[in-house]
Amino acid sequence: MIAIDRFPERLTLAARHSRAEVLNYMDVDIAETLRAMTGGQGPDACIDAVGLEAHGTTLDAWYDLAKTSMFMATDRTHALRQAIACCRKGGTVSIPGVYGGLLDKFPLGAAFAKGLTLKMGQTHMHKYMPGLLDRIERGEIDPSFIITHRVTLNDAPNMYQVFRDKKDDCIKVVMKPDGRA
Amino acid sequence: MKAVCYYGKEDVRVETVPDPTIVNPRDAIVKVTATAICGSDLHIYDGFIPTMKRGDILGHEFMGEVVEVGPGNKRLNVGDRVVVPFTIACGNCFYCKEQLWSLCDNSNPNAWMLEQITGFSGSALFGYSHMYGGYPGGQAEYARVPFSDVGPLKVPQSLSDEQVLFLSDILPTGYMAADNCSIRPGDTVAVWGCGPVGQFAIQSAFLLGPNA
Repeated sequence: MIAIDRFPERLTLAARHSRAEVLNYMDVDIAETLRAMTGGQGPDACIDAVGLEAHGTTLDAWYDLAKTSMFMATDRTHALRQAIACCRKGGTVSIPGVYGGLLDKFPLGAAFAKGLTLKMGQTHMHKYMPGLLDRIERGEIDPSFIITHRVTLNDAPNMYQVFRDKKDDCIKVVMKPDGRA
Repeated sequence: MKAVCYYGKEDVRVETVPDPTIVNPRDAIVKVTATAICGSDLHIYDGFIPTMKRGDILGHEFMGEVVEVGPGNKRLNVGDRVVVPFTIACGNCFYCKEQLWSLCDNSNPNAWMLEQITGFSGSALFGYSHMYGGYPGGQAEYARVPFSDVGPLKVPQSLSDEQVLFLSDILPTGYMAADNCSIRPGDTVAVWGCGPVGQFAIQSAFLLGPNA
């Protein structure tokens, strides 16, 4: 498992708690590093858990930012482009990240040329919930490890901003409406 | 009741609004005990999601105690502790029968809006704009749950709210992302984004392919 982000606290969580090898895209060239880590072949599967508000350091990421800022495009597609470029031939790109509109500069040619499988969509919740509850009961996974902020509903306006700006190492906000935060 | 409401880009307010009531026989009312802000709520906050209206109640990750049950619901009882899935599904249509619950044909009364963009509409979502059904969300003291004989999952008292709350969206979402990779032992999987869904995708990949 290789995890990619730019926020140290998230990468630390991925390394310590989720046992992934981590790459900070501010420090390394992702395509080059993934290739080196996989014997030149690329990962068998790439998961885009970013979605339509991706950040990046490459030309296409700045292009997305400029175009969406001017309402000339709907989505910032950088993470998905990179996943498609890095995936091994015949591999799978899985997209839980949310996309909303018409993607600009989408590398369908690369996906086609490499024979990729693209899988995506809103989660089929009802199919997965009972099995995952069983896994929680058996102690195989404890999802609470991601919670960084416990607040009441009254704190929501501030917490939306804190979470959006990734202030205070914010990863997940849980609100207790009865006030017992 | 108190609810977290959308008033525009980067404008979220806590307002006092009318309590929800049973509208359809299969509805239930849940007293929310825990609710979370999702990364996808930030897409609304940042103004990326069209058809939001001033005053819409936000939130699609929530759980709580059933306090009222419609006459058409034979599965839930008052007092049940449930986690509510963020997608709303009828349980009867072609897509629900195929286990493609998030593509439910019947839950979105505003399907015509999404059809303008996507050809066909998927299921409705809680608190996620009018093109996704306009259902009030769960960042509130109470929420109305449509088709509540299908979606809500009863959870045992032995588990805390914090252990089960993320069954409402991000844990299954991370798990399906890994499941969609058809991981075989020894595969290498790379994950872009180490937010909550990314973390759960990583953990799920280990559950599904121990040597990944």
